Formats: sequence, C-alpha cells, structure tokens
Amino acid sequence: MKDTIMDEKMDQISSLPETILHDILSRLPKKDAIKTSVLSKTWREMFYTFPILSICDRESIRRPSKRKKDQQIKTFLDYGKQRLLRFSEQGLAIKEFKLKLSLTCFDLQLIYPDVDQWLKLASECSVQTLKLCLPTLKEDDPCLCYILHPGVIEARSLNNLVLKGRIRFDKEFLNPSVKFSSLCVLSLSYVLFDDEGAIEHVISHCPLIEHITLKWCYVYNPQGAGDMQISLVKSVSLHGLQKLKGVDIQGVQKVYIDAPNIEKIYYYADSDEPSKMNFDSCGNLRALTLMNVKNEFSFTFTATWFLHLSSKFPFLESLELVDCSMFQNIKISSSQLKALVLCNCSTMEKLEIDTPNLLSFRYYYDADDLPSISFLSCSSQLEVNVWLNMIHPRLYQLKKFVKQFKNPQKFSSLSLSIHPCFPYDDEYYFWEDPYSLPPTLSVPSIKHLVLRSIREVKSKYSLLVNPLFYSWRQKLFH
Amino acid sequence: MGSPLKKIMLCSSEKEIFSVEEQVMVQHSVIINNMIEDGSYNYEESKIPLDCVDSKTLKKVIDYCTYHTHHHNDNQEDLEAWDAQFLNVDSNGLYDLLMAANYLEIRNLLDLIYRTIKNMIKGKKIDEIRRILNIKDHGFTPEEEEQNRKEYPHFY
Repeated sequence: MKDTIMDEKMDQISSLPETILHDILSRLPKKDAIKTSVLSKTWREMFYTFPILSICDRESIRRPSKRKKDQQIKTFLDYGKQRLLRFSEQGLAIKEFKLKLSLTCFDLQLIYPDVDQWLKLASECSVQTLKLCLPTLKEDDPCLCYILHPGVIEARSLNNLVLKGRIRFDKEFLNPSVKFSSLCVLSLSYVLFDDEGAIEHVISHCPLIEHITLKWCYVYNPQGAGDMQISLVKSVSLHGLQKLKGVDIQGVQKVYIDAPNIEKIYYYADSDEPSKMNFDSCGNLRALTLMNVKNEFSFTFTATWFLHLSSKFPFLESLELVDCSMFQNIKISSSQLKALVLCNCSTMEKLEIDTPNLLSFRYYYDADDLPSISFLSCSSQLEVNVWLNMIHPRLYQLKKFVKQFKNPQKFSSLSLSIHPCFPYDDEYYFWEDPYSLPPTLSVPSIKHLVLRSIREVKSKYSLLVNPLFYSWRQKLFH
Repeated sequence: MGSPLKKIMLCSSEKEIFSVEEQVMVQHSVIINNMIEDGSYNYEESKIPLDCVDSKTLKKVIDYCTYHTHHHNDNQEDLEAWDAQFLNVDSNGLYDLLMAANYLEIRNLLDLIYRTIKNMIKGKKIDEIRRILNIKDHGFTPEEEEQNRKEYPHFY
C-alpha cells in the first residue's frame, strides 16, 4: 500500500521550484552539475536555464587527432552557441558566463569570431559576471591574441570582469564614450594593451570599481624586434577612485595609488626591475602585503618607511612581508597592528616588534641564519607561530632563537615547527650529536608548545627533540 | 530576541496546532523572527498559519530547531551524527522538509538538506542517482537517451 502512495508522489525533488534546484546546482562540482543534464528532461531543462554558465573546450575536445579534432571543435562551437541562444531566445538573464579555452593558438584564432558572438549574446542577457580565460601570452606571437572590442562586452549590468591570457584590448577602449558604469571588480592577468596609458584609461571609466587585480599585463610594441614586441606594463597610477577597496598588483614596476577608501594592498614586485611604489596617501589602509621586494632595487621600503608606518597608516591591522630582502634591521612599531607575517625575509638580521595589540605573529624561514627577534611590547593574547626549515638542526642557534621569546612576554601560544630540508639526501642525514646540548635550556614563558617533525626522519628527530622536552618539561607541565 | 519561556503557536496544513518556545523559532526562522520583531504576532490570539507544511513535516522542523537551539554547544561530530539521523528520510520526506525550510527560511536546515542532495548526486552513476531521487520516467526518447550515453559515457 505504502509503495503505491510513494509511486504517485514519485520524483518530487525534480518538481522543486527552479530557484531551489538552481541553488542545488550551484553547490555541485562542475562535473556533477553537467551530469544532472542527462538525469531526466526536467533536470536537463533546469540545467540549461541555470544562470551560471560555464563553458570549457576541454570537456568537448579531448583527443588531439587531426581529423577528429575539427569535428570536435565544431561540436563544441555548436554546443556553446546553443547554450547561449537558449538564454537569449527565452529572454533569461545570465548571472555569470565563464569561458575557458585551452586550444592551441592556431585553432584558437579560428574560433575568435565565435567568441565574439558568445560574449555579445551574454551581454544581451544582462550578464553580471564575465570570465574569459585563454592560454597565456607568449612573447613571440602577440598578433594571435583575441582582440576584445568594447561593443562585445558593453553591458550596463556587468559588475565583475575577469580576463586572463592572450586577450588584447582594442583601441576603441580609449574612446571616452566607453564606460563600465556598474563594474565593481576588474581582474586582468597576462592581457595585452596597445599602449601604456590604456589600462589607466579603462580603470578611470569604472566609477564604481572596488577591486582591481593587475597581474603581469603587457604593452604591445610593434617596432620591437623578435621577443621585444611585448613588454610588461611599467607603471600604473590609480587616482581618486572613491569606492576602491583593494588592489592586487603584480609585476608592475611603478605603482602610484591615491584612493581615499582603499583598505587592502597586495603588491608583488618584478624582481628584475627596481620597484617604486607610492600609496602614502591611502590613510585608510587596513592590510598590506609586499612580496618579492628586493633590497638593491627598493626605492620605497626603507627602514625609515617602516618606522613611520603607523603615522602614515593609522588603521593598518595586517602586515605581510614575503620574500622581501630590503632591510637588515627593522623596527615595526604600531599600536593597532593585529597580524604580522614574515616569510623568507633572508637579509633580516634584527627585528624589533613594538606592537602592544598584536594577536598573531607568523614567522617562516627556510635557511640557517636565524635573526634576532625582540618584542618590545606585546599582548598576552599573542599567538606566535614559527616555521623553520633547517638543513642542519643547529640547536645552539635554535636555543638562542627560542630564548628570544622569553619573559616578560607571556604568549597565549607558541607553535614551533622544525622541518629538515631534503630528508632523502644522504648529506642531510648528518646530524650534530644531540646529546652535546647543554643540560639546561632556558625556557620561554609559554602556555602552549607544539613541535612538529616529518615522519620519515622521526627517529632522528626524537633524539633531537627529547632533550629539548626534557629540559623544558618541568616548566611546561606546571 | 524572544524570552525563553514565551511560547508561540504554529498551525499546520491539517490545522493542527503546535506550541513552541518562541526563542527556538526566532533563532532559526527568518520569517518568524521578522513577524515577532515587527509586532505582527499577537501572543494572546494569533497562531502562525503554515498552509503548505503538513503536521508530520512541521513536527520534524520543530524538532530540528529545538535540538539545535539547546545543543548548539555540542561538539561538531555529535551534531553531525544527529543531523544525519534526522535526515534519514526518503526523497519525498526530504522534499517536504526542503519546501518547509525554504518557506520558513531556516538557513542552516536548508544548507543541511542541500548538502544531503549534493551527496546523492556527487560522484554517482546516472542509474544510481535516478534510483535515489526516484526518477522513474526520465522523459528522454530512446534516441535522446542513446545520444546522452554516447556523449557522456563516463556518467553511465
């Protein structure tokens, strides 16, 4: 009896309202989402009207044999067109259109007209998020870029534009009438511009822009010979963008940012060129990350610059320095800094931290010479996380290093991870005799200690770690 | 936020009345929270009519909200075990719960059900999903079904 009732009510999930089914689809991994399109007619319909549309040639074009490939490309182009036409014919909105192409350059340029058509269709369906991802630009063939015309992506509704790979901005973008009136997020990686100023011009026509990502963007220089035809964008200057909240800039040599409300700056320097940055007027800055800034090339980040950090950026809460080697002695003094990360800052010899409200200090280092680190003031809630990657576990040095985290500070937690480099290389199995340690190692006042090691060298490590524990034990277990 | 002792009345599609601690529903249901906050609920007389939720489902929804109100400090594993037991229902029971959670805007219950449905589909073969979701008639013509199999052989 029960079975017959069940039969009548069968397949109720499929009859759920479309918004709920779309919610379910949006949570599925892509492969499983595609799978729902062959479950039943109902699910297929739902899949085809799902406003997050993602098309990737890898799914249709699998085998590279010449004869089959042409057929597969044709099938793929038909499929893409059908998917987009479904929306435009039914007057449905597309929330997000993601197109990823990984064909070889030669095949790729043959389908650029189709890409034009698809982007146009998506724009007509009020697309909000547009992501176009092509293979990375190679320095010798800039002419095989997809040329993006403003007419193709002109959509008032567009608020998120992500372009990656061999995409070249057409000169028409310099026309003052081209406006991205609702664009909030702009992300450009490895794309090509016709001239140095074009990038700033595009950005200045995005009045609502909140986040800008510029990674390794190029300028086309037709006069250049051979691989000199394209070169990295040298300078970017962002002025008075009232809504700008965050930027991620990589590989641009000179950067000038003057945005009153910006909170987050992430900068990755091109290590071959001297970098020059000025964002001193961004008084609202909350988080700053600097990567790969090298000593000999840094005109900006001097010890004095760091000394004045807190007067320039009174709200700065998070500072990260990764692979930076612009200083030997540095003093970081700030009353509002909450998080500090130092990763492989190899030239650093002495670090003084005067940050009474710091909650988290992370220190990563993969060489031997450990710097001297001292806390001039610190909070009782400070969590210290040290990750060392030592070739020879130089215990004496380690001892000195750990000792630095001594009284009068009481951290809420000190986590120390020591990883040996290259554990498979015979040379590194040479250990100093751990028993040569001094019998007592002074212990910092810590509430919590973690020592981690790699399993492969566990036996060696226990020799190393046991004496450490032995001498610390009494105080640790109080 | 409602006081812990105050009770509110919920009325199922069968006109059965359920009395629940106000705090329990206010914490979980956006809709009920709004009704209490804007003062449109009268404690003396009103009951909240839930015409599209049957008694059996409403009872389960109340069980969920009550448990999660009183056990929110439990460890994650225990809560997950309880949730798994709670959702041990057939696909139609799941449908009713989903519609109710959607109507009452109970976000964490919705998330839980979405996760469950996701697990019904993720990594499984088409025939198996059809069985789990009780799809008896897929509606494809034999030719279309053949075409699907040809296009996505790895799904079958």
